[in-house]
Amino acid sequence: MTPEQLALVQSSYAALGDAAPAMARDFYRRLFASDPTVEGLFDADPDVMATKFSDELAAIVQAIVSFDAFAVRVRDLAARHVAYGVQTRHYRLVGDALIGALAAQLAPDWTPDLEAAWRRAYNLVAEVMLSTT
Amino acid sequence: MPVATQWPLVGRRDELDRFTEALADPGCEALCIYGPSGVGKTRLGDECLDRAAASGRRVLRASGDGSAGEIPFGPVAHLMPADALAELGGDDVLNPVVFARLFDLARRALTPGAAETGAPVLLLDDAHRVDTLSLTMLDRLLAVGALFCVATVVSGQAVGETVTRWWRDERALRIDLAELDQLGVDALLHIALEGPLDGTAAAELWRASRGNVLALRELVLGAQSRRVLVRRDGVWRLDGPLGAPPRLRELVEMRVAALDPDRRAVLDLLALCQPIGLGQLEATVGFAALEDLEREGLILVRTDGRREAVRLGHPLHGEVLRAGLPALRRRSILLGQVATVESHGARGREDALRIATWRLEATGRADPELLLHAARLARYDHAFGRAARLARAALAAAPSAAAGLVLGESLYNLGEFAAAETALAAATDRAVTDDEVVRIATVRRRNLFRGCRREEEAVAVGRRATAQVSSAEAREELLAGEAEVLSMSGRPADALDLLDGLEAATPRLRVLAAIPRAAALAQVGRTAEALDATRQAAAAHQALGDELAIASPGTHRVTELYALVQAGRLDEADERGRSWFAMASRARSPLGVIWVGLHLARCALARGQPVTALSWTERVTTALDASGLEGVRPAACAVAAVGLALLGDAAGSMARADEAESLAPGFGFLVPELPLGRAWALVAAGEIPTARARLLAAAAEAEAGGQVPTAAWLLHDAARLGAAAEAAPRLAALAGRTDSALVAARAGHTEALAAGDPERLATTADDFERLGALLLAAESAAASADEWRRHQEQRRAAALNVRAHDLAERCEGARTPGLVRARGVVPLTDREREVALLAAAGQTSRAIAEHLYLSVRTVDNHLGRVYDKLGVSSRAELAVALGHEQEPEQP
Repeated sequence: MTPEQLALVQSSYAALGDAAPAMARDFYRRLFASDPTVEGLFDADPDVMATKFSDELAAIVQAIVSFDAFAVRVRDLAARHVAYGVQTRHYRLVGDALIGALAAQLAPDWTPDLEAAWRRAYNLVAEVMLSTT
Repeated sequence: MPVATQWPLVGRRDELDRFTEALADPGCEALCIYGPSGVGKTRLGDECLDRAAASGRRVLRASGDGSAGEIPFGPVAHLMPADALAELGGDDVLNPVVFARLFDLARRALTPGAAETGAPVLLLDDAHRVDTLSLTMLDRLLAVGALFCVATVVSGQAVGETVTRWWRDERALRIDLAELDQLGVDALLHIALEGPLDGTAAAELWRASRGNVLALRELVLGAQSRRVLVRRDGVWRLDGPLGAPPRLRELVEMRVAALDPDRRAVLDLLALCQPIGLGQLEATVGFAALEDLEREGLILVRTDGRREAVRLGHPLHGEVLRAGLPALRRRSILLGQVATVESHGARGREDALRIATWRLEATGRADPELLLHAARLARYDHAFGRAARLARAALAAAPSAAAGLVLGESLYNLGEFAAAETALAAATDRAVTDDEVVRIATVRRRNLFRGCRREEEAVAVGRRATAQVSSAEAREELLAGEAEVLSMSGRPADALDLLDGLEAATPRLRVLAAIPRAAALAQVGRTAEALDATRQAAAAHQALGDELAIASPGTHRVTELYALVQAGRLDEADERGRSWFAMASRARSPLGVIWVGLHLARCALARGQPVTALSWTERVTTALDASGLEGVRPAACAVAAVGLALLGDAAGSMARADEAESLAPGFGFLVPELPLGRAWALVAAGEIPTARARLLAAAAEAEAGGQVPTAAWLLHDAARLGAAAEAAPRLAALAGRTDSALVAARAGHTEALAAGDPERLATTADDFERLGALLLAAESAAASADEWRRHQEQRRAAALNVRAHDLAERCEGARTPGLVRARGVVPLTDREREVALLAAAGQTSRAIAEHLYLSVRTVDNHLGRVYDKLGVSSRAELAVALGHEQEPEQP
C-alpha cells in the first residue's frame, strides 16, 4: 500500500467518529444477509459484537502504518479466529460487507480512491490472517 | 534493511482449500497445478505439503529439471528403499517382472506408519520434465492409493499423457494458476517488504512484473541489491528507473551475472549435477555461503526421502546458468563432480549411472555397460536423440548387438532411416540369441519398410531371421511382423492367411498378431471383427506393460479410427479421432499426428466437410515435412485434391492430384484410394466422363485386391457422376462382402439412382444422415426431389428439395454435380424457415410471434409465403413437406 492510501484509511475511519458502532451493526447485517450460515458462527449479543468489531478495526487502522505492530495485532486476531471455524470463503464475504457498510456510512464522501485504499487494506489484513492460520 | 527472504503465499487460499478437499476425497489421487513459469506453482505445492504434514501425512518431494545429472527414474528413486535400484540390473529395467518388483518395493516403503493418517503426499515439481518411466511408476502407485501426488506443470509445455490422463479421467483435480491481480501484488509487496511502497514504485513493479511472482521477486531483489529500491522514512521508494519491463529470463540473467565467483560456482555445479547432498556443498563453500544463497532464494534445501539435498531455487535459473557455461568450464565441473562422488564411494547403481552420464557429457566416454543401460532408459523415455548419443558412445567403447539395436531403433525414431539401416545391419551380424535376432530383425524390417520404403528387402530380412531362430515363439513373432508388412502393403488377404497359421500361444504374441489382423480386417471390410481385434489388442497390450519391439500403444487407436471410418461410423470416428489427435499433438508424436490426421481427413471427406478435411491434411503435411514418413504423403495429397475440388478450386485440386501422382506410391493399402484425387480434380474441371471412367477402372483394382470399402467408395463416386447403372450390380456384390453400413448405404443409393426410385432415394438420404455422411445425404435427397418432380409430385419434390438444401448447408460449401441437379423451387428465406419449423412443430401463430418478437400479422404473412412456396395449405401438410421431424424449439 502507498503512504497516501494508508492515510486515507486512517482519516476516513476517524471521520466515522461515533458512527463506528452503527457502521459495525450495518456490517453484520450485510454479512448475515450475504450468507445466513455465517450467523451461526457468532453467538454474542449484537451490540457487544458491534462494539468489539469497531474497536478491533480502530486498533488495526491505527497500527497499519507500522508493519510490525500491524502484523502482531492481525496475527493475534487470526489466532482467535481459528477457533470460530472461519473458512477462506468467509473472508471474501466479510470484505464485501465491510466495504458496503463503510460506503453507506461515509457517503457522499466515499470515492473510488477511498474504496481502492480500503480494499487494499482489507486484503492485506486477510492475507496476513490467512498466512497465520 | 529487510531483504525479502521467504516470500509469503498470497492470493492462493482458495487453491489451498481445494487441495485439502482433494486430499480428503478418496476418489481423488492427485492435484495438478498448471500455470506459467514463475507464477508460484511450487510455492503453492510446498504449502500443500505443509498442510499435509500438519494433518499427519508423510511428505516427499521430487522434480524433473533437465540438468545433466538427472537420470531416468531419478525422480521416483527415493520413494524406494536405498538398495531397490540395484534391481535395475543389466537390461532388465524394461522387463515387466522387474518393474513389478520395484513397484512392490515402493508400495511397501510407502505404507503409512502407525503415526501417519494416510498415504504419503508427493510434490512432483515440473512434472512435464519427468521421464515416462517415473511417471508410469507413479501412475500405478496413485492408482492403488499408495500415494497422493501434487504435480506442477508449466502450462504450454508438453506433458506426458500420463499426467494429462490423471485429470482428464477425473482421478485428479486440476488447478490453473494465473498471475496475481493488482490487489494480490500490493499485498504481497507490503508483507514481503514489511511496509508501504510509494505509488510510483508500486505502479512500476506491477507494470514490470504483470503479477508474475517470480518476476516480482527478481525485480525487487535486483532493485534492492542495486540500491534502486530503498526505504526512506518508513516508505519504500525507487531512486532510479526500474527499467523497461524485461522478460523473465533476462531478469534471471541479470541476477546471476551479479553473483561473486564462489557462489556462482555452487550454482553452476547445481545447474549441471543437481541434486547434490548438503554435506558436499557445506564442505566446499561453507555453511554461511549456503545460508546466503538460500536466503536469496537461489537454492533450496530439502529432504528428499533419504538425505538433505540441494537444488536450484527455480528451474529457470538452471536454464540460464547452463546456457552461460563455456564448454571447458562445463567439462571441468562435471569431471570434478565425478571425482567427488567416486572419492566418497558411489552408493550403488543410481550414483554409477549419474557418474556415467556426467562423464559422457564431459568427455564423450564412459563405462560401456552403464552407457548401454542409460541409453535404454533414454530410449524408453522417448528421448531418442540422447539414446542415440549414449548408444553410439557404448558402441565406440565395446561393439555389441544390444547397443546397435538401441542405436538403430533411436535413429529410426529420429527419421534417420539410412543411418538406422547401417546400424541395424551391423547389429544383425552380432546377434546370437533368439531374442536378439528377433528384436533386431523386427526393428530393421520396420525401418526398411516404413522408413526406407524398401518393401522386398524388408520381407527378406524377416524371412532370413525366421529361418535362423529356434523357438516357436520367436518364429511366430517374426511372422506376425511379416503379416504387418503384408497388410500395410495392401495385401490384406495374404496377411490374414499368414496370421491364421499362427498359434499365438502367449499374450505378447496375441498382441503382435492382433495388430496386423485388425488392420487387414478393416481393409477387407470386416469392420466389427477389426474393431474387436484392435480393442482386445489394446487391452492386452496395456496388461503386458511396456515392452520393447511392440508398436506404440497409439497404433491401436489409429487402427480403431481406420476401422470406424471403413465401417461408416463417421460421427464416432470424428469424435474419437479428434481427442486422439489432441493427445498425439500434446505428446509431440509426429507419427500419431500423421496417421490420426490422415484418417480424420478421410473421415471428413466421407462426412462431406471439405474445409475440415483440408485443415487435417494441412496438419498432416506439416508433420510430414518434419518427420520423413513419406509413405503417407500421396494419400494426404489425394484427400486434399478431393477437398479442393468439392470447394470448386479446380486448379488447386489438379495441382494436388499432380503432386500425388508424382510421388512414390507410398503405403500399399492407401494406394487404391489415390485415384479419387485425380477423379475429383477432373470433376471440378468439368470433365465428368473422364472422371467416371477413372473411378470405374480404379474400383476394379481395389475389388481385385479385396479392399471392399475402398472399392465401394470409388464405385459409388462413379455412380454419383452418372454411372449408377454400371456400378449398381458391382456395389451390390461388394455390400454382400462387408458389414460396413456405409458400403450398404452406398449400394442402396446407387441402386435407387439406377432405378430412379424417389422413395428409396429419400430412405438412403436418411441412411447417410444417420451415418454422418451429410453430403451424400444431401445428394440423395436432391435426387429424390428430382424424381418426384418427374412424377409430377410437386409437393413432395419441394419437401425433399428443402431437405437437400438443409443438408447441403451443413457441408461447408461443398459443391457437386449431384447437388446442382435440383431446380425449380424458390428457397425459403431464413426468417421463413424459422417460422415454418416452429409452425410444423405445432406452435400457434401467437406463440411464434412471441418467440420471435414479431407481430402475429407478420408471422401469418411469412407463413402464407411458406405455404405458397411449398405448395401446402395446413400445418400438418407443412410438417410433412418439411420432410423430417423437427425438435420443438425450447422457448
